[in-house]
Amino acid sequence: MNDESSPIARLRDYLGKSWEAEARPFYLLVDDQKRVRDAQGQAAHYGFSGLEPGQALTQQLLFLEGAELTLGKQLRLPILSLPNGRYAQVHAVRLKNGWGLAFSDATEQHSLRLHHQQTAHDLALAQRELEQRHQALQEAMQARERFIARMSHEFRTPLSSILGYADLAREDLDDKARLQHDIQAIARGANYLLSLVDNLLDHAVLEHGELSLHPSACDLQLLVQELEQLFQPAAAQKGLSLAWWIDGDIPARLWLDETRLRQILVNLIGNAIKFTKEGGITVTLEWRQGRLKVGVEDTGPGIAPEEQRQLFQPFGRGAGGGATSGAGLGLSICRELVERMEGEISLQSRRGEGTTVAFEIAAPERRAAGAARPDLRGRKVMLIEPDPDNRELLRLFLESAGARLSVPENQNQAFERFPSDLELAVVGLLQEPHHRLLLRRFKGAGYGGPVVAVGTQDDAQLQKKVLRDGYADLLVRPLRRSELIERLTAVV
Amino acid sequence: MLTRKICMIGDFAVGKTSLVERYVHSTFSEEYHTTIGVKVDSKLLELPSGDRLTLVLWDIAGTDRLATLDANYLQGATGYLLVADSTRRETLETAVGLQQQVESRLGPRPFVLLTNKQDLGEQLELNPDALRQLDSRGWHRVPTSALSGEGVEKAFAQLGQQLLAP
Ligand SMILES: Nc1nc2c(ncn2[C@@H]2O[C@H](COP(=O)(O)OP(=O)(O)O)[C@@H](O)[C@H]2O)c(=O)[nH]1
Ligand SMILES: [Mg+2]
Repeated sequence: MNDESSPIARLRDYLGKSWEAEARPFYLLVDDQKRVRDAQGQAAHYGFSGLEPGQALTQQLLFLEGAELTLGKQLRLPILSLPNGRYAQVHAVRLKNGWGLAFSDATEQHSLRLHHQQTAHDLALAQRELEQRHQALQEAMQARERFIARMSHEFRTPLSSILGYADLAREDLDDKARLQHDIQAIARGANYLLSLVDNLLDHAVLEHGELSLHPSACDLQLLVQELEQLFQPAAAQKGLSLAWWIDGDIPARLWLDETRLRQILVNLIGNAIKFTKEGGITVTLEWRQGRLKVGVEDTGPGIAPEEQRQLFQPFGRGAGGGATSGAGLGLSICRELVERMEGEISLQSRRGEGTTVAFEIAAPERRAAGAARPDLRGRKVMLIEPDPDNRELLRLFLESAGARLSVPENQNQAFERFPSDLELAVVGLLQEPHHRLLLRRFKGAGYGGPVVAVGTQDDAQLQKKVLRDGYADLLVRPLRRSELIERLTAVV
Repeated sequence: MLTRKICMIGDFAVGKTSLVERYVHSTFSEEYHTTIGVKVDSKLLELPSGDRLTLVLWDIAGTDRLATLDANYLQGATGYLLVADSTRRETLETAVGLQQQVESRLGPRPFVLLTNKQDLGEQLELNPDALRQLDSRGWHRVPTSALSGEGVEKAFAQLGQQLLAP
């Protein structure tokens, strides 16, 4: 069994050699002064050289400093980083008059540990990120819940007033005056609901950054008249004054997105009336060097400083209750819109004294081509719009602008008796590929003039595509008369 | 000549390895190389008094705070440098906790608290009240930067002086 050439001995030798090749053992005996007494093994691998008996190894054996172990006790360093860049596992044992040391290679342990640490580190980072996301999500959900609660509250007020007046109206059927009053109240409630819905939709659109502006020549006088008509009754009902200060230097026509400006003003004036109990609202309009400055000042209760900061945030953080509930979304939309119009909005308020919201937007002067208002007087215009209500509205607008109209009920009717003197075609935007086929039918009928599409989707991408396909313009509903006529005049 | 074993103690990535690199080799690296296992360096310290002392500096893996408390690591240390990262508030708490544990293992030993990364001026966030409280306990504290070298020599010299004090 102990025969040197027995299979077990050969196995031992074989495995022993392969272990030595991997572990690269090095054994060292030193005296108390760390001078070499004896050495064996792969010294060079660990940066030792010479190793003459008596050679002092103080510098190489720094790690023994302080390790005054009792006899037979061991110092074990699983991974020691050596000056030559290698890693060793070191065992040191205290002998009677010095030290016995064993070195073996620890490169593998080192890379394992490194890998382990990196994984742990990555894991910790991933976990932290996860936690942050979780928290953000939770906050967003809470904000949304608060928002929904707030919105349902906002919806409930006008809805219950509509329902209440509808009940009254049923009883008042024979009393015309009272019926009139009930219907007005219902209309007011519905209008308010509509503006809430508009705000909500805009908020969603703005959140996704898709809102595009549609500037046209805007007659500020007309806009003011319209707002006056809209708000005067509400102000009067609360006994408030609604005053307008309009700078005489404002040009007749300003190039801006009238729908959006109107929306901002409706929000601001609406808020002012809503929160003011006595006194009044003053709206000032000034124009200087291509910029329109607007101020909406009220004599309401004012807003506390800590609340002011949150007002322009989409889902105001704080409890939100009290005097400003429901105003948050409107103001945040106003801020977004104003910023899109290259402007700024600011708020000044003092408790008990009132609030002023001021904003400024880009509004270059638009000189009317040939002093007259744009119109379509005498122009031959064809209107193809499948939806009867929309068709009727567009027909009214076009007629009032003086157009000579041809309003077929459908495409086939249009091309059966196609007017030879057609100057402009206005069509409801069709789905792909029908919108391109329609253009082809116009060509086929010998018409090469402008075709303007009217759609409902406010989408810059679609806009580009429709123009590329050969339409002269794409107008987006809801349309205002002035904008419609302005844009149509521009293409004929 | 006198030789003394000194341990670097402190939370992960506070700059223990960088401080040794700066002190012993006068270099600094922005890169972060996790120390794996133990690295032992030495430097001859000359005090203004003329006394000379070889410091044997032990630096160890930092991810695991408790690794720094490994018996083999602390064994025979005559003093230590306690390091906190001035831009991470929690590393001071770790340092205070580690100090207690080291003291319970080794008994009272001289040490110096280094508030490192002072060069990151605007981001400093250690609690001044907490620092004042440590000062009042008689802790030696030196603001350092392994990057600029600020305070590094001073911190080691402070510790050396304490080691030689009777
Ligand atoms: N700016 C700055 N960075 C430092 C300083 N000391 C260390 N660092 C950086 O901090 C990170 C961690 O340093 P390191 O010495 O490895 O920390 P250890 O884990 O405590 O050994 C590295 O990226 C270093 O470059 C310092 O004083 N100033
Ligand atoms: Mg390190």
